[in-house]
Amino acid sequence: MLLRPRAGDLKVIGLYTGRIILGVGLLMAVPLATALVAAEWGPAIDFVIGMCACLAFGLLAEIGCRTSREPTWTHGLVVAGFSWLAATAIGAIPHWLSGHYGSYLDAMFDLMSGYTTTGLILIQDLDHVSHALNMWRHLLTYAGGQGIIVIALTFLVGGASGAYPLYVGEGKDERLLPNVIRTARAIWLVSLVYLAVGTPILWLIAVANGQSAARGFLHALWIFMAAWSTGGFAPQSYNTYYYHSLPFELATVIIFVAGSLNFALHWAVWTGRRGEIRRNIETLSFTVTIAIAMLVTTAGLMKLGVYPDFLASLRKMFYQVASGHTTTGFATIYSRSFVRQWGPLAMLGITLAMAVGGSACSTAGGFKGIRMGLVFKGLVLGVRRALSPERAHVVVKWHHLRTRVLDESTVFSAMLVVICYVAIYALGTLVGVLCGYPLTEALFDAVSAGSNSGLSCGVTSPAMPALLKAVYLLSMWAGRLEFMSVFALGGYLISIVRGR
Amino acid sequence: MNGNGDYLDFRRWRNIASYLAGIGVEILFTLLLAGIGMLILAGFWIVGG
Repeated sequence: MLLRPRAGDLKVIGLYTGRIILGVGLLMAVPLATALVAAEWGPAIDFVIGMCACLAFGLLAEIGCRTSREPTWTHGLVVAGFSWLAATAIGAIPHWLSGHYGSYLDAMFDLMSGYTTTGLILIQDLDHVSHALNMWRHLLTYAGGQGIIVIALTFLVGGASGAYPLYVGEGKDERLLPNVIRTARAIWLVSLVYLAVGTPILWLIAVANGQSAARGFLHALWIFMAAWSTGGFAPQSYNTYYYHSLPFELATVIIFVAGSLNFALHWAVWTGRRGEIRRNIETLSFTVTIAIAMLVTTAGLMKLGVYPDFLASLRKMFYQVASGHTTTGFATIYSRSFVRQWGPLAMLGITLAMAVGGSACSTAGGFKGIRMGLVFKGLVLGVRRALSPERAHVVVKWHHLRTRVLDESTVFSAMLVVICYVAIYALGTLVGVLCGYPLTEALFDAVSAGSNSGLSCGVTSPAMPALLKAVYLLSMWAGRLEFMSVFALGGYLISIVRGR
Repeated sequence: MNGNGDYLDFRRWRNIASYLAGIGVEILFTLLLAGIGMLILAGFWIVGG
């Protein structure tokens, strides 16, 4: 029997959603300050309007939903699912007011793409976007990579007792430290240290490549944010191909591979357990699956003789595969080159890489390395059981921060999420084909959206049908939250209508 | 779960050195992946002539 939520439940959901939107509004102070410094008065007004909308929503929720109740597990999941949608709808106001979008749906698409660190874009005339809007685009990928609820936990939500359900609802279920608020701060510490190291390095490379100090700094900052969050946004329409620089590519690869690693793994390695990186099931799984993706992609490129020399082949192949596998979406080739030059086999290699994705509890999307590792170990367990005597007790172990014995329920949970990802990849592909796109192209962009990768072979554009935009938008949302919050929100809505 | 809460204090030099060593390990991991890519490609070039 479904129980209809009471007014108190809705108040808890409203209150915490309001606080998260308030956090989004406060974040808009950064692009607003950028607009004022750069004397961009039009964008400044756009961000003032956006901030006012967020603050109004947050204050109304604070007044109308005042309650002393702490969120339960269900509340946490529903808040996570709902707040990402609400943050997308309200946060898109400055995007829409900028005049760079054909419709409000396009603006929301780019917002969701940013929050979920996907990197697919529908923005028009990207090369002439204001500094303020570029700052906002990249800042929201950086914030979304850590998680907008993680931000709220770090700064806004005071009490720790009800915070864990919210944290888990956002697709992060590991505690780096015993306290969830300190875990959120540790996540931010890792991200900020990388920011402090990565941005100056990119800046030096940009200046050495001929950019002015000011422009080079902004590009370095934005590219760092997009790389670390595995977001894939860039301030130029040619993405990272614009820079034509091997050192720049190398620096971004290092940053986005690091961004795709589990925050718990970062914390273990950073606090002295350096050997964890070679024992961890996620890094092992990542190494194997990226090798397979590189093998398939290289076979495709060699079959068609796309690049004439070894270094060019390595540079293009590794960058695109690593970008796809970490679900970053940076590209050093044109979108249509996937179709016109690389061909279906190399595209399949990149599609496989995107589908698998990075690590759990990271900024990356996709199945995640830990699930691939667990499913593989589950297969090993099954085969060993089949080959052993009936009374034999077969044990398979796996290592993630500590060594554990594999059990069926863990494999089942991993399989369930993988199946959900396959379902959204299939749905996006089906709608793409129904909209008239060839199967390989529809599959490529659908997997890119569902795994929050951001590479595109040209399907994603302002001209694509609104239905496909909506399906990709929802795929990005469901993929980023790893489904549980989405199902919880759906169930909650049904219980409001049909519950007793 | 670990109890390394003291590492949250980024004002301690010991902690900063530890963070940078961690970043060094993670850079090596990326270079290892690039090395695997190079080996795969080299294999194709050798076999393909």
